[in-house]
Amino acid sequence: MTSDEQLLRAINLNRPGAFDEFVRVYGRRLLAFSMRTCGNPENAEDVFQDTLLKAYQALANLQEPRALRTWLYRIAANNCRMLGRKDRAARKISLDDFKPPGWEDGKILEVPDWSDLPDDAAGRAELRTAFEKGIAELPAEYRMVLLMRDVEGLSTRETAEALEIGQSAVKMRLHRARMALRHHLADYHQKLGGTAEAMT
Amino acid sequence: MSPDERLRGMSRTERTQLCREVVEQLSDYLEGTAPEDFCRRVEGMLKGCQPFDAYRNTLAATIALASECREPAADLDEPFARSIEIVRRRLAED
Repeated sequence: MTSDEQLLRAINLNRPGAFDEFVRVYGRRLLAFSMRTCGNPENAEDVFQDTLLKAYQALANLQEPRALRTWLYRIAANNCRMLGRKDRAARKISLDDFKPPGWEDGKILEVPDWSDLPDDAAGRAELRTAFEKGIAELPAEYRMVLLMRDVEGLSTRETAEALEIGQSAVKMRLHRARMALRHHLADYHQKLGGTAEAMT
Repeated sequence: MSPDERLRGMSRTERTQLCREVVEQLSDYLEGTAPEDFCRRVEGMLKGCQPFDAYRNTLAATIALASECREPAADLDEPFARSIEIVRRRLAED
């Protein structure tokens, strides 16, 4: 396996196959991230191409190999944001949007436990589709945090650096995004009629 | 003073700050990065609390589902190949 340090050295020395290796290591991850972040496949392809180009041309200036992954996601996130601004104004979301019914009245909450996930491939695939839909419905800034932390596996610090926000903001947005997805999945299970009987 | 009374006596800014701190600590707890004494306090207070157990279990399931999406889908093959070709061409032109 190529380390980021070896990869950067190969690119800086313009070794044959360096671009292919760069694409092999990071290409599909960045395209998947762009697809989920942009929502629109055409925009995502533009973002992906632009990210690869900008990154590959500027890699020689990157001094710290350990920062490579964070730096790539930062370029992709900024490209997505720029396209997002053209498409629509960023939607703000507050904690209130995720409050379950009854919260305001101080009632004891009935929280359905749907965490027993299906084992069969078909059930799992259907659940994944519902989950991807939930991700797509998140506001962009929340979606990016969730994708970086929970899907791409970046740490809180790396996500904060990639998005140029504080670690506290990462934690808040991640929590809200997870809560929104949790509600989305509870709705999905309710529609399936599984554990949803206890919901209302 | 009960927690409800304390909350009522707070300004909006103080409540927002408290909310932020609670969410941060809860996130750390759920990820197993919270200090041990905090975890013990949470578990002590919420032992046997069905809504909290359900909340924790479903949040853990949500995180697990997200990590299952880590493997890029096969339907990315075509846009991937097309994009790499375009980038290769543009790099060669520069």
